Amino acid sequence: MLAKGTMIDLYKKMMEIRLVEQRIADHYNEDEMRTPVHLYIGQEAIAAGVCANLQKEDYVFSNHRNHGHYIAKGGDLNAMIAELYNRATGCSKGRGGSMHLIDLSVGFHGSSSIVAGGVPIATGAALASVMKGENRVSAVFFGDAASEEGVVYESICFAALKKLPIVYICENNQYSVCSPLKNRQADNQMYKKFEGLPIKTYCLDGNNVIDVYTAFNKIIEDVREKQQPVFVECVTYRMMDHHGTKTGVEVGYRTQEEWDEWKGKDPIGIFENILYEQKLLDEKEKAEIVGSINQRIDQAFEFAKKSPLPDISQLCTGLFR
Amino acid sequence: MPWTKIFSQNEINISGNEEVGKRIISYPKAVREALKQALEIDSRVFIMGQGVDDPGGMFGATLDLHKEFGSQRVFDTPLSENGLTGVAIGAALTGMRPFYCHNRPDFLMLTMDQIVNHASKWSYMFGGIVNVPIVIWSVVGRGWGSAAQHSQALHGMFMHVPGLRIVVPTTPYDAKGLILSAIADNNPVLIFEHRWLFKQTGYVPEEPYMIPFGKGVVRKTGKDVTIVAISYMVSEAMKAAEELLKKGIDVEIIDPRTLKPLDEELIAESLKKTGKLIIADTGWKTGGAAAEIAAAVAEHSFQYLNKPIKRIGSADIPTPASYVLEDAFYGNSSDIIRAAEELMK
Repeated sequence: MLAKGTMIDLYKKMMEIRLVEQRIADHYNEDEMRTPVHLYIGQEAIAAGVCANLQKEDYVFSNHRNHGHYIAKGGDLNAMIAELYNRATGCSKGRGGSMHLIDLSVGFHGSSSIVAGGVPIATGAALASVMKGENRVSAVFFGDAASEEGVVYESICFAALKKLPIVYICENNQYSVCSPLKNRQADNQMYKKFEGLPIKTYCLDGNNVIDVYTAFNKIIEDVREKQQPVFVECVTYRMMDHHGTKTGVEVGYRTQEEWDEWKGKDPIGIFENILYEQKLLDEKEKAEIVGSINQRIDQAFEFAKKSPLPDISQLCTGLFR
Repeated sequence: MPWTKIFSQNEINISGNEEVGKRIISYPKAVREALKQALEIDSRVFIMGQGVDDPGGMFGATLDLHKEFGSQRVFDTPLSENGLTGVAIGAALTGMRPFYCHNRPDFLMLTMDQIVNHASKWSYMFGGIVNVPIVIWSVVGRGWGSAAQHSQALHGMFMHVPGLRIVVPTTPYDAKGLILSAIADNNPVLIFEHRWLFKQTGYVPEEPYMIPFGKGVVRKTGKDVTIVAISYMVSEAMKAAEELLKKGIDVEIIDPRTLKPLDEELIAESLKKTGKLIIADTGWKTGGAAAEIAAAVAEHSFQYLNKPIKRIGSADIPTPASYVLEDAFYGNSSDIIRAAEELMK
């Protein structure tokens, strides 16, 4: 059993991700955030459970669906929302948009929107850590579709060869844009593809934050101490459309029944029930947590909207250094 | 920063025109010396690539460096070119200076995602707060039936992509100075060597030095026709120049040394004098380096031209293996001579 403090921290982090994503969805159709948003709703247990086990100086690399990872690693919320609003104060100065968040101060090293593109880069960061004699772990998040890219195999093989301290986290959310897993892969278990390699592989219920946290507590300790790569599949479900604020049910690539079934496995809902049952949380405390997070989100949106847009005179800067 | 101490020099000795008493070494030895000195100067530098520690050592360029610097800093890699390019990028982002060697640029086609979608964009895409100091080095092949997939000169293709520096050395002196500049540079640099230039020898100072990017060099002065020759084509242009001089045509030969940035000013200065331009490239004519240089001249220096620009490159077909076809496929000194004569008619 996890300590109460840990449980509540995990809950707060998941809730923060959820509320930020919902707020983005609420405002997205105002067309002021002109950037394709890929919402993380339904997958919060993974980012929260993994990042709670990482040190600030550990590296995280992400993908187009990166909001949750950025928030879980402690990325600056103002700078994130400003980036979504295309502002000069955005974490990428309005150059990256939603898919290219970065906050070096907390080890969040950026996100590639080319599926699997960040996987070898994270592997290189792990190589650099070893070369420099640092005790750092690299973590990279990618989806089930990324496991279809050759570069993931190339990266993991190299990490195994060089014994790199990296954890490969495959969030199997069942869909790549509108394409279901069954159209793309012969088997629905990602981790099996990598079992033949000399690395440890795991498969977790990605909607159970206690499982994710507990497993990663051991996994990250192992990666750090034994300097070896690990592959972890976290089974989950993308509740929202690939991009935007709908669910995808309305256009028919998945059924309402399927969506409802996963809604019943909502990671926050499940966890909340546990917290209530164990009397670690009550309605009043929940309201306080939600209120406090919403206040921070209000501030972030206010900051973003008040921030200046990038100056056109800066268009060509930053290509080289 | 250990690099700030290195002497930066623009002066060039043309191979075959060395002053007596100066130190003459081979092209691959010059490359190796640059790498050795970079490894000595900067602990962040490492060399990777398939075969960098093999008995041949990348045509001699990396020969036995692993014995001196250990297998952590000079190491063989699995093929996995795209993955390993990403690995180099990740290491660069987190404080290292990788130098990734490929026997042939043809293999870079397997790395396009990481070079074009990642390395070239990472700095701009994140508002310039990060940078990717990697060098990707490859050697263009030619001859001995290398055929379509082991002979491509693909530098022109990469010129299209913002965020990359493109370097095409010609002499041992330049190879060393440009490699040291590339490693010291904070951005992705692609160096395209040419296998036939590895036969060259030339003056190379022993101490480390850097050659600035975007500064071409006049290999031969002349008054009648300007020839911008890229990489190995400098050699063909020098041959052509000798023959042309016998016919009373005095050409000026410019070696741009880097294609991105390109020394347009040097080319313009020469055209003010000659009014005629031939561009000789090791790659295809269409959409490549010669096309880009011709476009830049047409755009910015049209007023100096008194004849249409001529381009010499390889035919727009894959490289054939048979030496009869191979000879016909490549641009050479005869093509340059013919073009110069036509311009002087």
